[in-house]
Amino acid sequence: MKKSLFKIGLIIVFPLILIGMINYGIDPDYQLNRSYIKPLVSALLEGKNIAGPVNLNSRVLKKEWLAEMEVPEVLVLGSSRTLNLSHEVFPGKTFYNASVTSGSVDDMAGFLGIILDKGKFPEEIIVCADQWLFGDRFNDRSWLGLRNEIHRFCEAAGMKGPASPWQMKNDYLKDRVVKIFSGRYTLRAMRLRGKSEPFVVSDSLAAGKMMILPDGARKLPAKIENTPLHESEELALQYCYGSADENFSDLQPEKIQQLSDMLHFLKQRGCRVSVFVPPYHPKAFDYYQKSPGYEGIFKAEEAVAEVAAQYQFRVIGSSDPNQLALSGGDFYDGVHLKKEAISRLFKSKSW
Amino acid sequence: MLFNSVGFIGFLTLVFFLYWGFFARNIMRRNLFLLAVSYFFYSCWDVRFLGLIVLSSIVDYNCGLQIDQTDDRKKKKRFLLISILMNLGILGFFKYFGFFAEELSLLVQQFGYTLHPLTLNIILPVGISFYTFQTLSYTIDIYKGKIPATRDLVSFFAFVAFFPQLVAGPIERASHLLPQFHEKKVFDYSIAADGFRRILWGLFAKVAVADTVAPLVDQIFSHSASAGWGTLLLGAFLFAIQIYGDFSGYSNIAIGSAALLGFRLMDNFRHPYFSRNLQEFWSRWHISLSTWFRDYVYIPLGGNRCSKKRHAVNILVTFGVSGLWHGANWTFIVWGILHGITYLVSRPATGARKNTSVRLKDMLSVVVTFLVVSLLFVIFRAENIGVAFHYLVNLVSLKAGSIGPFELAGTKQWLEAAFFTFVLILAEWKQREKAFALDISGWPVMLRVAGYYFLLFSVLYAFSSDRLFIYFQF
Repeated sequence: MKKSLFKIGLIIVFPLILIGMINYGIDPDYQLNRSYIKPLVSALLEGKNIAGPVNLNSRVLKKEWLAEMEVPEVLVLGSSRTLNLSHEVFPGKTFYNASVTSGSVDDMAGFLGIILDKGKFPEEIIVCADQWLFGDRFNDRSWLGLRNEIHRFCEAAGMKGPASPWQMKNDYLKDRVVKIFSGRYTLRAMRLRGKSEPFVVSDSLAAGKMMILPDGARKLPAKIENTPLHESEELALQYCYGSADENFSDLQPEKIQQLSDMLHFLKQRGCRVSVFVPPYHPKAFDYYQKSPGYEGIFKAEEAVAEVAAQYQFRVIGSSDPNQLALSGGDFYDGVHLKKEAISRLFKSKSW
Repeated sequence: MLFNSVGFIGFLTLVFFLYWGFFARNIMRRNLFLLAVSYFFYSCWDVRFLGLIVLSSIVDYNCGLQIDQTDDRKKKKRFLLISILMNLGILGFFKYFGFFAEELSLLVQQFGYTLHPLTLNIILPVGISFYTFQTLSYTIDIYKGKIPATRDLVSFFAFVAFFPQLVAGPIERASHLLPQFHEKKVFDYSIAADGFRRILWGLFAKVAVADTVAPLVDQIFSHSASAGWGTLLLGAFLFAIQIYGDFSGYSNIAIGSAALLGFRLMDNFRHPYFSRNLQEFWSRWHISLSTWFRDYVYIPLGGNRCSKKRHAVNILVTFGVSGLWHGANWTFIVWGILHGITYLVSRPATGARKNTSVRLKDMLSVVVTFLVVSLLFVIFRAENIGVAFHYLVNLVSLKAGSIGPFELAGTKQWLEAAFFTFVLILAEWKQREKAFALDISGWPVMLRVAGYYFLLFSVLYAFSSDRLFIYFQF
């Protein structure tokens, strides 16, 4: 029996070890070895810019970063749709943008969990309420990188977390195991061996690069920022056809409750909150209005407005770009506003 | 705990070593161990519903004994009735209560009355349709005198809860599986290796094929109102591939896991998409369920030993009930009945050809059968009858749409799905005379190992997260 098991084991274990070694050794997308994050955080705290694949591990980066910095007067909690909101919109105030790609209410709870330890809260918090967060199609679990902080915040706020601490840890470890033995990652490692995009610390802004700035905002390459109208329209339709996140008719009550609990906690702490409902590209909005199965977008907007009103917090934005006097040229794809447009939208409000 | 999860791989490995290392030699200890790990496995889903399995086991164990011990026909019938009512009662309450309450309310509304149905937020316990049918067949078989009742409580409880097939079958018969709990088990390398091959092939079908195809199917069904007929046809084909990869994958992992512990489970699929007609398809698709309905619904109704008219009714009722078994939704019922109608219509022309092997010359009838099965699966997959109707109308009317496949997903996604589907179909075709596609024990060692490595790498390539099996909702 031992001999037989050894034979079976060899067939299975040998390729697994090989794949694990390649993935960990090359780690083309900085997924497994995160020793590079601390030096980046130090550079950002010194006021430098970082160019490179800044979307990767952005939660871990911002977690370490936020833990090291003073509590800002204005804090942005959101997703890629608020990532280009920068300090220029809030002159004279200390500002930090803690948005992360595919950011969720759980991510927001995680960042607030870090601030909780500092004993002081920002005066003004902007919460980006992406419509898809309240449906059943959005399943991103990147927030697992903030699991301890989420748990801390949920305990303090009496908010129901996404899972128990044990479950979150378990899921996080499972995701790590899957990444270590991922065949897809192995192929990528072999293709990119030694040619992964590096992180570059710089004092100036490079027009052609994606960068993360010392206020937490993301600067996109000029090519994306200047996307022409016809291209943004094409991208908007591609988004509608290709993304399933908006394809929900009913809201998930527990997700609305999470938002409500978070706002309730912030109200108790004396924070002023502005809930941002991000707009869609006119083409995308039109598609969602006319197609069946997307009613959830509009229900989410209504529910978010109700929750905000419950705590006397203001709502900025709308799913409908026409209500905000935005045109197709203000977007670089179906869901993202250009920097100039989002700045204009926020500058028009009093802060 | 999903079969396609890191947790299950760890669980199975631990159970395997503990089983063969400490428990296999003593039958009583072994069965107690299997019962404990099976209950643990189920508790990982939802510990609250473990009580239902225990209840079902207690009632059926005792009913079985009472039916077996008495010669009084009335008493036998009474205990059979208790078993049937209890099992179908549990199933009916958890699975169909909401559906029938809502339908009744709608019906009453038609006559101008208002009825507020008792709406209970009932969660469907995973695996309920499978283990209730398994235990039902046990008492029915004792009643019919086909098998004696077991007096071994632990074996019976382990038989009901046996973790490899607890949550989605195959639905085993007591006459096949229960005696295996009384057997002595000795580790057999060839059986274990066969089990590993089954698991590997099952993982490939589920993770590499079904899970790669699933997002494309979701996209096509989500945009079915705007998609053209070509895209809709592709969606129907892809769902047929997805559900096959998903369910046959699950079944192979179940059979393989049981084989690792020295148990033989029945085959659930026999290359169904190479069937030349619907009769053949139903003898190759979800075999454990279709034979269950044949033995416990179709034959008791009179089978084919009656008038043509009655026979047709028997077939329609059997298919309708089989559709309803899948879930409390009109889509499943209509899917079942339409299969029944198609079965009846195609029967006189083709007849069943179970025993001859499929050749290339049969390709036309294979393609036509696959087309019919795929189109009927649209009803199965759709959210409701209205969506299914529009989907099929747009498809058969060759409606031109505004969205094509490459707008719904990237080229890479399509290529990956096409590649893995091609490998699945090719392997199934080459191995169509075998029980499963990776039954390659006779191949040269190097070729075998290359095959294993290819499949293992494909699984690791496609694996992203624990994606649910479709049949877990039933």
